[in-house]
Amino acid sequence: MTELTLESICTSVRDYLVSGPLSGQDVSFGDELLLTGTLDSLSVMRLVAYLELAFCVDIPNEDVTLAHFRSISAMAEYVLSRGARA
Amino acid sequence: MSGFDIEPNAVQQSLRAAAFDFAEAEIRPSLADRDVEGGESAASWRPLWQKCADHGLLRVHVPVECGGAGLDVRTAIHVLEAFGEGCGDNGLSLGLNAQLWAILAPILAFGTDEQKDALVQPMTDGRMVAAFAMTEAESGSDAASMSATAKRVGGGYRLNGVKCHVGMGPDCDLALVFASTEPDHGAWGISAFLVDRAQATGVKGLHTAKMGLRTSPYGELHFDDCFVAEDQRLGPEGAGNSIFQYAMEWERLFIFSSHVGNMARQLNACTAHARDRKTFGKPLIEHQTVSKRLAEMRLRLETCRLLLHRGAYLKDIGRSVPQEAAMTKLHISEALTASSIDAMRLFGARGYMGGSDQERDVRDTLGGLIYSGASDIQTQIITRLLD
Repeated sequence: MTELTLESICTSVRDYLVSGPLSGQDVSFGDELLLTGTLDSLSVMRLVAYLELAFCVDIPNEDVTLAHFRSISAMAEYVLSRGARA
Repeated sequence: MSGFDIEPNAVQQSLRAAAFDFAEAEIRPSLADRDVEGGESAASWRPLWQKCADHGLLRVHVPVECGGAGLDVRTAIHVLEAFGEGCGDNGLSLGLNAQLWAILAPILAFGTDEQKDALVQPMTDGRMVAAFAMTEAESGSDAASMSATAKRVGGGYRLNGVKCHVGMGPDCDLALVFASTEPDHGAWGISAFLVDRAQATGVKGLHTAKMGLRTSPYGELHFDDCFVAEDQRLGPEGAGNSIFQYAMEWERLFIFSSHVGNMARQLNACTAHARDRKTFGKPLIEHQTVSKRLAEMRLRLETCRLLLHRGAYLKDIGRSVPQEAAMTKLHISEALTASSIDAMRLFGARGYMGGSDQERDVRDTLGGLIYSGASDIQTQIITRLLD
Protein backbone atom coordinates (compact mmCIF):
# COMPACT_ATOMS: atom_id res chain seq x y z
CA MET A 1 0.00 0.00 0.00
CA THR A 2 1.42 3.43 -0.99
CA GLU A 3 1.80 5.95 1.80
CA LEU A 4 -0.42 8.95 1.10
CA THR A 5 0.61 12.43 2.13
CA LEU A 6 -1.17 15.74 1.96
CA GLU A 7 1.13 16.68 -0.93
CA SER A 8 0.52 13.48 -2.91
CA ILE A 9 -3.27 13.76 -2.52
CA CYS A 10 -3.20 17.42 -3.58
CA THR A 11 -1.19 16.49 -6.68
CA SER A 12 -3.59 13.71 -7.63
CA VAL A 13 -6.66 15.90 -7.13
CA ARG A 14 -5.09 18.72 -9.13
CA ASP A 15 -4.28 16.30 -11.98
CA TYR A 16 -7.90 15.07 -11.94
CA LEU A 17 -9.32 18.60 -11.97
CA VAL A 18 -7.00 19.96 -14.65
CA SER A 19 -7.56 17.02 -16.96
CA GLY A 20 -11.33 16.94 -16.31
CA PRO A 21 -13.60 19.69 -14.98
CA LEU A 22 -11.11 22.54 -15.48
CA SER A 23 -10.29 21.53 -19.06
CA GLY A 24 -6.58 22.29 -18.84
CA GLN A 25 -6.82 25.43 -16.70
CA ASP A 26 -4.08 25.29 -14.04
CA VAL A 27 -4.95 25.64 -10.39
CA SER A 28 -2.98 26.01 -7.15
CA PHE A 29 -3.59 23.91 -4.08
CA GLY A 30 -4.97 26.86 -2.11
CA ASP A 31 -7.16 28.40 -4.83
CA GLU A 32 -10.81 28.99 -3.92
CA LEU A 33 -12.84 26.70 -6.18
CA LEU A 34 -16.45 26.93 -5.00
CA LEU A 35 -17.17 30.57 -4.22
CA THR A 36 -15.45 31.63 -7.44
CA GLY A 37 -17.71 29.30 -9.42
CA THR A 38 -14.69 27.39 -10.75
CA LEU A 39 -16.52 24.20 -9.75
CA ASP A 40 -20.31 24.00 -9.77
CA SER A 41 -22.57 21.50 -8.00
CA LEU A 42 -22.37 18.93 -10.80
CA SER A 43 -18.58 19.13 -10.93
CA VAL A 44 -18.48 18.62 -7.17
CA MET A 45 -20.76 15.61 -7.53
CA ARG A 46 -18.30 14.02 -9.94
CA LEU A 47 -15.38 15.05 -7.77
CA VAL A 48 -16.89 13.29 -4.75
CA ALA A 49 -17.21 10.07 -6.79
CA TYR A 50 -13.57 10.45 -7.90
CA LEU A 51 -12.28 11.02 -4.33
CA GLU A 52 -14.22 8.02 -3.00
CA LEU A 53 -12.79 5.77 -5.69
CA ALA A 54 -9.24 7.13 -5.79
CA PHE A 55 -8.66 7.22 -2.04
CA CYS A 56 -10.98 4.43 -0.83
CA VAL A 57 -13.00 6.72 1.42
CA ASP A 58 -16.70 7.08 2.07
CA ILE A 59 -17.89 10.70 1.85
CA PRO A 60 -21.28 11.27 3.49
CA ASN A 61 -23.51 13.81 1.78
CA GLU A 62 -23.56 16.07 4.84
CA ASP A 63 -19.79 16.47 4.54
CA VAL A 64 -20.01 17.96 1.05
CA THR A 65 -19.67 21.52 2.30
CA LEU A 66 -17.62 24.59 1.59
CA ALA A 67 -15.28 23.83 4.50
CA HIS A 68 -14.19 20.50 2.98
CA PHE A 69 -14.28 21.31 -0.72
CA ARG A 70 -13.32 24.95 -1.12
CA SER A 71 -9.75 24.18 -2.27
CA ILE A 72 -7.55 21.27 -3.21
CA SER A 73 -5.77 21.58 0.15
CA ALA A 74 -9.08 21.46 2.04
CA MET A 75 -10.14 18.36 0.11
CA ALA A 76 -6.82 16.63 0.78
CA GLU A 77 -7.04 17.35 4.50
CA TYR A 78 -10.59 16.07 4.53
CA VAL A 79 -9.91 12.78 2.71
CA LEU A 80 -6.88 12.16 4.92
CA SER A 81 -9.11 12.65 7.96
CA ARG A 82 -11.46 10.02 6.48
CA GLY A 83 -8.63 7.47 6.36
CA ALA A 84 -7.56 7.85 2.74
CA ARG A 85 -5.46 5.04 1.30
CA ALA A 86 -4.16 4.30 -2.14
CA MET B 1 -34.44 -10.78 -3.40
CA SER B 2 -31.55 -9.83 -5.64
CA GLY B 3 -30.88 -8.43 -9.08
CA PHE B 4 -32.94 -6.24 -11.31
CA ASP B 5 -36.23 -7.84 -12.23
CA ILE B 6 -39.19 -5.77 -13.37
CA GLU B 7 -41.66 -8.63 -12.77
CA PRO B 8 -43.14 -8.74 -9.26
CA ASN B 9 -42.52 -11.77 -7.07
CA ALA B 10 -45.36 -13.36 -5.07
CA VAL B 11 -45.12 -10.94 -2.16
CA GLN B 12 -44.94 -7.94 -4.47
CA GLN B 13 -47.90 -9.24 -6.48
CA SER B 14 -49.96 -9.47 -3.34
CA LEU B 15 -49.00 -5.94 -2.23
CA ARG B 16 -49.70 -4.65 -5.73
CA ALA B 17 -53.14 -6.19 -5.76
CA ALA B 18 -53.98 -4.71 -2.36
CA ALA B 19 -52.80 -1.22 -3.39
CA PHE B 20 -54.70 -1.40 -6.69
CA ASP B 21 -57.94 -2.53 -5.04
CA PHE B 22 -57.65 0.11 -2.33
CA ALA B 23 -57.00 2.89 -4.85
CA GLU B 24 -59.82 1.82 -7.14
CA ALA B 25 -62.35 1.52 -4.31
CA GLU B 26 -61.39 4.49 -2.15
CA ILE B 27 -59.70 7.11 -4.33
CA ARG B 28 -60.95 6.59 -7.87
CA PRO B 29 -64.71 7.15 -7.42
CA SER B 30 -64.42 10.81 -6.40
CA LEU B 31 -61.54 11.72 -8.74
CA ALA B 32 -63.49 13.65 -11.39
CA ASP B 33 -65.39 15.69 -8.80
CA ARG B 34 -62.26 16.52 -6.81
CA ASP B 35 -60.49 17.60 -9.99
CA VAL B 36 -63.25 20.13 -10.62
CA GLU B 37 -63.39 21.23 -6.99
CA GLY B 38 -59.60 21.73 -6.76
CA GLY B 39 -57.23 21.18 -3.87
CA GLU B 40 -57.85 24.47 -2.08
CA SER B 41 -60.27 22.87 0.32
CA ALA B 42 -58.53 20.42 2.64
CA ALA B 43 -61.84 18.55 2.90
CA SER B 44 -61.37 17.42 -0.71
CA TRP B 45 -58.04 15.64 -0.19
CA ARG B 46 -57.14 15.31 3.48
CA PRO B 47 -59.51 12.40 4.30
CA LEU B 48 -58.09 10.54 1.30
CA TRP B 49 -54.53 11.31 2.36
CA GLN B 50 -55.41 9.74 5.71
CA LYS B 51 -56.83 6.67 4.00
CA CYS B 52 -53.62 6.32 2.00
CA ALA B 53 -51.60 6.55 5.21
CA ASP B 54 -53.87 3.98 6.86
CA HIS B 55 -53.26 1.67 3.93
CA GLY B 56 -49.53 2.04 4.60
CA LEU B 57 -48.56 3.98 1.49
CA LEU B 58 -46.59 6.60 3.44
CA ARG B 59 -44.41 4.09 5.23
CA VAL B 60 -43.45 1.72 2.42
CA HIS B 61 -39.70 2.31 2.39
CA VAL B 62 -39.34 3.66 5.94
CA PRO B 63 -37.17 1.38 8.10
CA VAL B 64 -38.97 -0.79 10.63
CA GLU B 65 -37.03 0.79 13.51
CA CYS B 66 -38.57 4.15 12.53
CA GLY B 67 -42.08 2.70 12.45
CA GLY B 68 -42.12 1.92 8.75
CA ALA B 69 -42.87 -1.15 6.67
CA GLY B 70 -39.17 -1.61 5.86
CA LEU B 71 -39.80 -2.62 2.25
CA ASP B 72 -36.92 -2.44 -0.19
CA VAL B 73 -37.24 0.29 -2.79
CA ARG B 74 -38.16 -2.17 -5.55
CA THR B 75 -41.15 -3.41 -3.58
CA ALA B 76 -42.15 0.10 -2.55
CA ILE B 77 -42.19 1.14 -6.21
CA HIS B 78 -44.43 -1.82 -7.10
CA VAL B 79 -46.91 -0.70 -4.43
CA LEU B 80 -46.94 2.93 -5.56
CA GLU B 81 -47.20 1.98 -9.21
CA ALA B 82 -50.23 -0.22 -8.52
CA PHE B 83 -51.78 2.57 -6.47
CA GLY B 84 -51.50 4.92 -9.46
CA GLU B 85 -52.95 2.32 -11.79
CA GLY B 86 -55.88 1.78 -9.44
CA CYS B 87 -56.87 5.42 -9.00
CA GLY B 88 -55.44 7.48 -11.86
CA ASP B 89 -55.24 10.40 -9.44
CA ASN B 90 -52.07 12.19 -10.53
CA GLY B 91 -52.41 15.11 -8.11
CA LEU B 92 -52.86 13.18 -4.88
CA SER B 93 -50.23 10.62 -5.86
CA LEU B 94 -47.75 13.40 -6.65
CA GLY B 95 -48.16 14.74 -3.11
CA LEU B 96 -47.71 11.27 -1.60
CA ASN B 97 -44.63 10.52 -3.68
CA ALA B 98 -43.09 13.93 -2.95
CA GLN B 99 -43.47 13.32 0.77
CA LEU B 100 -41.90 9.86 0.47
CA TRP B 101 -38.94 10.69 -1.76
CA ALA B 102 -38.16 14.39 -1.38
CA ILE B 103 -38.84 14.81 2.33
CA LEU B 104 -38.87 11.51 4.22
CA ALA B 105 -35.77 10.22 2.39
CA PRO B 106 -33.55 13.19 3.35
CA ILE B 107 -34.92 13.24 6.92
CA LEU B 108 -34.00 9.56 7.24
CA ALA B 109 -30.56 10.24 5.76
CA PHE B 110 -29.62 13.52 7.45
CA GLY B 111 -31.92 13.78 10.47
CA THR B 112 -30.82 13.40 14.07
CA ASP B 113 -32.41 10.64 16.14
CA GLU B 114 -34.52 13.30 17.85
CA GLN B 115 -35.75 14.71 14.53
CA LYS B 116 -36.64 11.24 13.27
CA ASP B 117 -38.42 10.40 16.53
CA ALA B 118 -40.47 13.58 16.33
CA LEU B 119 -41.33 13.62 12.63
CA VAL B 120 -41.23 10.24 10.91
CA GLN B 121 -44.12 8.61 12.76
CA PRO B 122 -46.55 11.52 12.23
CA MET B 123 -45.56 11.69 8.56
CA THR B 124 -46.13 8.00 8.00
CA ASP B 125 -49.40 7.74 9.92
CA GLY B 126 -50.99 10.66 8.06
CA ARG B 127 -51.05 13.27 10.81
CA MET B 128 -48.30 15.37 9.25
CA VAL B 129 -48.37 16.43 5.60
CA ALA B 130 -45.02 17.72 4.40
CA ALA B 131 -43.91 20.12 1.69
CA PHE B 132 -40.57 20.74 -0.02
CA ALA B 133 -39.91 24.49 -0.04
CA MET B 134 -36.97 25.32 -2.27
CA THR B 135 -38.13 27.24 -5.35
CA GLU B 136 -38.49 31.01 -5.34
CA ALA B 137 -39.91 33.39 -7.89
CA GLU B 138 -36.43 34.25 -9.17
CA SER B 139 -34.66 30.96 -8.51
CA GLY B 140 -35.72 27.56 -9.78
CA SER B 141 -32.92 25.16 -10.53
CA ASP B 142 -30.40 27.94 -9.91
CA ALA B 143 -30.14 27.45 -6.16
CA ALA B 144 -27.28 29.92 -5.79
CA SER B 145 -29.57 32.85 -6.51
CA MET B 146 -31.89 32.06 -3.60
CA SER B 147 -33.00 35.05 -1.57
CA ALA B 148 -34.61 33.43 1.51
CA THR B 149 -32.38 33.91 4.53
CA ALA B 150 -31.97 32.33 7.94
CA LYS B 151 -30.12 34.73 10.23
CA ARG B 152 -28.57 33.45 13.39
CA VAL B 153 -30.19 34.61 16.63
CA GLY B 154 -30.05 33.25 20.16
CA GLY B 155 -30.96 29.55 20.12
CA GLY B 156 -31.64 29.35 16.41
CA TYR B 157 -32.46 31.39 13.32
CA ARG B 158 -34.94 33.94 11.97
CA LEU B 159 -36.29 32.75 8.65
CA ASN B 160 -37.44 35.25 6.01
CA GLY B 161 -38.47 34.76 2.42
CA VAL B 162 -41.15 33.52 0.04
CA LYS B 163 -41.17 30.03 -1.46
CA CYS B 164 -43.39 29.36 -4.45
CA HIS B 165 -44.58 26.41 -6.55
CA VAL B 166 -44.72 24.34 -3.36
CA GLY B 167 -46.80 21.18 -3.71
CA MET B 168 -48.97 20.71 -0.58
CA GLY B 169 -47.39 23.98 0.61
CA PRO B 170 -50.35 26.13 1.66
CA ASP B 171 -51.79 23.33 3.81
CA CYS B 172 -48.66 21.51 4.94
CA ASP B 173 -47.94 20.72 8.58
CA LEU B 174 -44.21 20.43 8.06
CA ALA B 175 -42.02 22.27 5.56
CA LEU B 176 -38.51 21.32 4.55
CA VAL B 177 -37.25 24.82 3.86
CA PHE B 178 -33.99 25.86 2.22
CA ALA B 179 -32.57 29.25 3.14
CA SER B 180 -29.25 30.98 3.04
CA THR B 181 -27.32 31.14 6.31
CA GLU B 182 -24.33 32.69 4.50
CA PRO B 183 -25.64 34.76 1.59
CA ASP B 184 -22.10 35.53 0.38
CA HIS B 185 -21.46 31.82 -0.15
CA GLY B 186 -24.10 31.27 -2.83
CA ALA B 187 -25.18 27.62 -3.13
CA TRP B 188 -22.62 26.67 -0.47
CA GLY B 189 -24.21 28.96 2.09
CA ILE B 190 -27.61 27.26 2.01
CA SER B 191 -28.95 25.33 5.00
CA ALA B 192 -32.06 23.18 5.39
CA PHE B 193 -34.69 23.57 8.09
CA LEU B 194 -37.65 21.54 9.29
CA VAL B 195 -40.44 23.95 10.12
CA ASP B 196 -43.30 22.45 12.11
CA ARG B 197 -46.19 24.81 11.43
CA ALA B 198 -48.05 23.86 14.59
CA GLN B 199 -45.23 25.42 16.57
CA ALA B 200 -44.00 28.10 14.21
CA THR B 201 -45.13 31.69 14.02
CA GLY B 202 -44.74 33.94 10.98
CA VAL B 203 -45.61 31.30 8.37
CA LYS B 204 -48.42 31.87 5.91
CA GLY B 205 -49.63 29.69 3.03
CA LEU B 206 -51.29 30.98 -0.16
CA HIS B 207 -53.03 28.84 -2.74
CA THR B 208 -52.10 29.27 -6.40
CA ALA B 209 -54.19 28.26 -9.40
CA LYS B 210 -52.70 25.62 -11.72
CA MET B 211 -53.52 23.88 -14.97
CA GLY B 212 -53.52 20.30 -13.71
CA LEU B 213 -52.81 18.13 -10.67
CA ARG B 214 -55.80 19.86 -9.10
CA THR B 215 -56.56 17.12 -6.59
CA SER B 216 -53.83 18.36 -4.28
CA PRO B 217 -52.98 21.85 -3.01
CA TYR B 218 -50.17 23.98 -4.34
CA GLY B 219 -48.94 27.49 -3.80
CA GLU B 220 -46.68 29.71 -1.73
CA LEU B 221 -45.20 29.69 1.72
CA HIS B 222 -44.30 33.04 3.26
CA PHE B 223 -41.84 33.19 6.15
CA ASP B 224 -41.84 36.44 8.09
CA ASP B 225 -39.32 36.46 10.93
CA CYS B 226 -40.19 32.85 11.63
CA PHE B 227 -38.07 31.54 14.50
CA VAL B 228 -36.48 28.17 13.82
CA ALA B 229 -34.63 26.50 16.68
CA GLU B 230 -31.11 25.19 16.22
CA ASP B 231 -32.35 21.60 16.54
CA GLN B 232 -34.74 22.14 13.60
CA ARG B 233 -31.87 22.50 11.17
CA LEU B 234 -31.47 19.39 9.01
CA GLY B 235 -27.80 18.50 8.66
CA PRO B 236 -24.91 20.88 9.24
CA GLU B 237 -25.00 24.56 8.41
CA GLY B 238 -24.07 25.00 4.75
CA ALA B 239 -25.09 21.44 3.81
CA GLY B 240 -28.36 22.60 2.24
CA ASN B 241 -27.10 22.25 -1.30
CA SER B 242 -25.96 18.67 -0.68
CA ILE B 243 -29.27 17.82 0.98
CA PHE B 244 -31.11 19.36 -1.97
CA GLN B 245 -29.08 17.31 -4.47
CA TYR B 246 -29.71 14.16 -2.41
CA ALA B 247 -33.45 14.81 -2.31
CA MET B 248 -33.56 15.59 -6.03
CA GLU B 249 -31.91 12.29 -6.88
CA TRP B 250 -34.64 10.35 -5.06
CA GLU B 251 -37.36 12.61 -6.38
CA ARG B 252 -36.26 12.39 -10.01
CA LEU B 253 -36.04 8.63 -9.82
CA PHE B 254 -39.38 7.96 -8.16
CA ILE B 255 -41.70 10.98 -8.21
CA PHE B 256 -43.55 9.42 -11.17
CA SER B 257 -43.96 5.95 -9.62
CA SER B 258 -47.74 6.23 -9.46
CA HIS B 259 -48.01 8.17 -12.72
CA VAL B 260 -46.33 5.27 -14.51
CA GLY B 261 -49.03 3.07 -12.97
CA ASN B 262 -51.61 5.41 -14.44
CA MET B 263 -49.94 5.01 -17.85
CA ALA B 264 -50.92 1.34 -17.73
CA ARG B 265 -54.50 2.29 -16.88
CA GLN B 266 -54.49 4.80 -19.72
CA LEU B 267 -53.19 2.25 -22.22
CA ASN B 268 -55.78 -0.33 -21.15
CA ALA B 269 -58.56 2.22 -21.66
CA CYS B 270 -57.20 3.18 -25.08
CA THR B 271 -56.84 -0.44 -26.16
CA ALA B 272 -60.40 -1.28 -25.11
CA HIS B 273 -61.74 1.80 -26.89
CA ALA B 274 -59.77 1.06 -30.06
CA ARG B 275 -61.18 -2.48 -30.14
CA ASP B 276 -64.78 -1.44 -29.44
CA ARG B 277 -65.10 1.68 -31.54
CA LYS B 278 -65.69 1.19 -35.25
CA THR B 279 -65.03 3.70 -38.03
CA PHE B 280 -65.29 3.09 -41.76
CA GLY B 281 -66.53 -0.42 -41.07
CA LYS B 282 -63.72 -1.69 -38.92
CA PRO B 283 -62.45 -1.31 -35.36
CA LEU B 284 -60.16 1.65 -34.71
CA ILE B 285 -57.34 -0.70 -33.78
CA GLU B 286 -57.23 -2.02 -37.32
CA HIS B 287 -56.40 1.41 -38.69
CA GLN B 288 -52.67 1.59 -39.13
CA THR B 289 -52.21 5.04 -37.59
CA VAL B 290 -54.18 4.04 -34.50
CA SER B 291 -52.25 0.80 -34.04
CA LYS B 292 -48.99 2.73 -34.41
CA ARG B 293 -50.12 5.10 -31.67
CA LEU B 294 -51.02 2.22 -29.35
CA ALA B 295 -47.71 0.50 -30.04
CA GLU B 296 -45.82 3.67 -29.17
CA MET B 297 -47.81 4.06 -25.94
CA ARG B 298 -47.00 0.46 -25.02
CA LEU B 299 -43.32 1.02 -25.75
CA ARG B 300 -43.27 4.17 -23.62
CA LEU B 301 -44.90 2.29 -20.75
CA GLU B 302 -42.26 -0.42 -21.01
CA THR B 303 -39.29 1.97 -21.10
CA CYS B 304 -40.69 4.02 -18.23
CA ARG B 305 -41.16 0.91 -16.10
CA LEU B 306 -37.66 -0.30 -16.93
CA LEU B 307 -36.10 2.99 -15.88
CA LEU B 308 -38.23 3.23 -12.75
CA HIS B 309 -37.50 -0.29 -11.54
CA ARG B 310 -33.83 -0.14 -12.48
CA GLY B 311 -33.59 3.05 -10.41
CA ALA B 312 -35.17 1.20 -7.50
CA TYR B 313 -32.65 -1.61 -7.86
CA LEU B 314 -29.74 0.85 -7.94
CA LYS B 315 -30.95 2.52 -4.75
CA ASP B 316 -31.44 -0.86 -3.08
CA ILE B 317 -27.75 -1.62 -3.66
CA GLY B 318 -26.81 1.79 -2.28
CA ARG B 319 -25.68 3.53 -5.44
CA SER B 320 -25.59 7.28 -5.95
CA VAL B 321 -27.01 7.74 -9.45
CA PRO B 322 -27.60 11.40 -10.35
CA GLN B 323 -27.28 10.79 -14.09
CA GLU B 324 -29.72 7.87 -14.02
CA ALA B 325 -32.09 10.02 -11.96
CA ALA B 326 -31.99 12.79 -14.58
CA MET B 327 -32.53 10.28 -17.41
CA THR B 328 -35.46 8.70 -15.57
CA LYS B 329 -37.10 12.04 -14.86
CA LEU B 330 -36.59 13.31 -18.40
CA HIS B 331 -37.82 10.19 -20.12
CA ILE B 332 -40.86 9.52 -17.95
CA SER B 333 -42.07 13.13 -17.94
CA GLU B 334 -41.83 13.38 -21.72
CA ALA B 335 -43.42 9.93 -22.18
CA LEU B 336 -46.32 10.75 -19.84
CA THR B 337 -47.14 13.85 -21.83
CA ALA B 338 -46.76 12.16 -25.21
CA SER B 339 -48.95 9.22 -24.19
CA SER B 340 -51.58 11.46 -22.61
CA ILE B 341 -51.87 13.47 -25.83
CA ASP B 342 -52.02 10.21 -27.82
CA ALA B 343 -54.79 8.96 -25.52
CA MET B 344 -56.75 12.17 -26.06
CA ARG B 345 -56.35 11.90 -29.86
CA LEU B 346 -57.45 8.27 -29.75
CA PHE B 347 -60.64 9.09 -27.87
CA GLY B 348 -61.30 12.06 -30.17
CA ALA B 349 -63.82 14.63 -28.97
CA ARG B 350 -64.71 12.46 -25.95
CA GLY B 351 -61.11 12.73 -24.81
CA TYR B 352 -61.18 16.51 -25.06
CA MET B 353 -64.32 16.90 -22.96
CA GLY B 354 -64.06 18.23 -19.44
CA GLY B 355 -64.30 15.43 -16.88
CA SER B 356 -62.75 12.78 -19.13
CA ASP B 357 -59.68 10.89 -17.96
CA GLN B 358 -57.87 11.82 -21.15
CA GLU B 359 -58.40 15.56 -20.80
CA ARG B 360 -57.34 15.46 -17.14
CA ASP B 361 -54.25 13.38 -17.88
CA VAL B 362 -53.06 15.89 -20.50
CA ARG B 363 -53.38 18.76 -18.01
CA ASP B 364 -51.81 16.71 -15.20
CA THR B 365 -48.81 15.45 -17.10
CA LEU B 366 -47.71 18.79 -18.59
CA GLY B 367 -46.52 19.91 -15.15
CA GLY B 368 -44.08 17.01 -15.07
CA LEU B 369 -42.08 18.67 -17.83
CA ILE B 370 -41.29 21.46 -15.38
CA TYR B 371 -41.21 20.35 -11.74
CA SER B 372 -38.18 18.60 -10.24
CA GLY B 373 -36.06 20.38 -12.84
CA ALA B 374 -37.37 21.06 -16.34
CA SER B 375 -36.43 18.81 -19.25
CA ASP B 376 -33.79 21.34 -20.35
CA ILE B 377 -32.09 21.05 -16.96
CA GLN B 378 -32.18 17.24 -17.06
CA THR B 379 -30.46 17.18 -20.44
CA GLN B 380 -27.73 19.45 -19.07
CA ILE B 381 -27.22 17.17 -16.08
CA ILE B 382 -27.05 14.05 -18.24
CA THR B 383 -24.51 15.65 -20.57
CA ARG B 384 -22.38 17.10 -17.80
CA LEU B 385 -22.18 13.72 -16.09
CA LEU B 386 -21.01 11.86 -19.19
CA ASP B 387 -17.72 9.98 -18.64
